[in-house]
Amino acid sequence: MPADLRNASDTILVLAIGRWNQDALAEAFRRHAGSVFAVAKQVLRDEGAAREVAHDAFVWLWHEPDRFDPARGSLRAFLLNFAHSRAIDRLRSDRRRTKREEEEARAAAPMTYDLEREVWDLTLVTKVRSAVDELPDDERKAIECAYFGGYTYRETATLLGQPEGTVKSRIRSGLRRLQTNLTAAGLQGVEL
Amino acid sequence: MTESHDEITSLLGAYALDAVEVEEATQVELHVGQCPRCNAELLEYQTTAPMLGSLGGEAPDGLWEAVLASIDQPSSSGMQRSVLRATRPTSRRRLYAFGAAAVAVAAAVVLLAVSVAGLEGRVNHLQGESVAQALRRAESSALARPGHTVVYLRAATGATPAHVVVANNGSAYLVNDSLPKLSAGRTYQLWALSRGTPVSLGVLGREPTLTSFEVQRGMTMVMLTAEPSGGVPQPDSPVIASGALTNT
Repeated sequence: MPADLRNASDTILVLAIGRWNQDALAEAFRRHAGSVFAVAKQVLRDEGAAREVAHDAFVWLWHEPDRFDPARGSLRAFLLNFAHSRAIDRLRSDRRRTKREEEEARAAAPMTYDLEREVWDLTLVTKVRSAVDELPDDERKAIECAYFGGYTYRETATLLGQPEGTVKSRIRSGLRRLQTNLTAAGLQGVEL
Repeated sequence: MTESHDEITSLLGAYALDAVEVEEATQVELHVGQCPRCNAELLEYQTTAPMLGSLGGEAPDGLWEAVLASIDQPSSSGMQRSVLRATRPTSRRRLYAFGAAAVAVAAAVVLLAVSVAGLEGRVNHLQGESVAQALRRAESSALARPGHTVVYLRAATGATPAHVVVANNGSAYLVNDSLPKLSAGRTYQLWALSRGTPVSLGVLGREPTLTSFEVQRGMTMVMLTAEPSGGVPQPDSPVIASGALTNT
C-alpha cells in the first residue's frame, strides 16, 4: 500500500479509484468495510446477506466512483447510505416473499441495540451512543425502528402504536436533535 | 398524487432513513430537486443518519478477496479510466506577444505533475469553499470523473492562486484558491492561448469563486489578467497566473 494513499483523503481515494487504482479501493475497504458490513448485518441479522451487501457496496464504488459527491458528505456516509438502502430493499423483499411481515416485525423490532458489541472505534461509537441515548425515548425508538428495523414510518407507527404523523414528526425532530447532540460531542456527519 | 410542500417536508426525516414507500420517495426526490430549502434540510439528515450506522467492527474474512474477484481489471475490460496526468512544461514562445511582463510570468509557468498526494490539500480546500452549489457539484463531478486533468495556474512568485479542472468532455472549471479581491473598477479576465492568439474565456469579476468554460481544440494555455471592469478584447495587462493545457 503506497504511503500517500494511507494518508490520502477520501476524495483522493475516489479519484484514484476512478483511475482503476486497486490500492485506493483497498484503502477505502480498510477504512470503511467494517462499518459497512456492520450496518448491513444490523439491519439484515444475517451474516451471509450482510457480506453480499458489503461486497456490492465496494464493487459499486469501483464501477461508479463518480456517484460520490464530496459536497454531500463523506465517503463513509456514502457507503453506509448505500449499504443501508440495499439492506432495507433486501429485507423488505424478503418480508414480502415470506408473507410474514407482521409476525416478523413484532419479533425483530429492535427497541434497543448494542453498539458496543462490535466496537471498532470506541470513541466514535461511544459518542454516537451517547448522542442517541440523549434523545427522548419516543424519538429514539422511532429512529431505531426505522433505521435498524428497516420499517417504513407507517410500519413503525403500527409497531409503536402511534399515529403515522406523530412518527414522521418524531423521526424528523429526532434527527435534528441527534445532529445537535453529535455536533456538541464534536462529531459531524461529513466527518464520519 | 401531488403532495403539498408541508407534507413532503414532513417526510424528509423518514426519507433519510429509507423509511418511506417507493411512491413517497419519488415525491420527495422530485420536490427537493426544486426546493432548495428542503434540499438543504434533507442533506442535513442524510449526513446525520449514517452516524447511526457507525457501529465499527471488522470486515469478515474473505470479503476483500471476493470484492477483488468481482471487479474489472483495466487490462481485461479494455476500458480506460485515465488519470490526473503528469505533464511537463510546454513551449512558452507564444506568450511573447504578451510583452515583457507576460514573459516574466510565462517563465514561471509550469504545469505541475499532479500527484495524488499533492492534490489532496486542493480538494479538501474545495470542499470548504462556499460557491454556487450547481457549479461546485459539476466541478466535483468532473474531478471524480475519469479522464480529467488538473492545471494549476502559477504566478511569477511561484504561488498557484487558482487551478482549472478540465473534464474529458472539454468542460472546465476555474477554481479560485487565493486570488486577492481586486479594487473597484477592476476585474479578473480569463484567457486561452489558441493557436498563438489570446482568446477571452470570460470576465470573472473582482472576486471570482468558481467559473465554468469550455476548452476548445487548439487551446494550449489558460491565463488570468486583471483588467478594467467590463473586460477588454485583448489582454493588455500583465499575466497574473497561467498554466499549460495538454491534449488539446
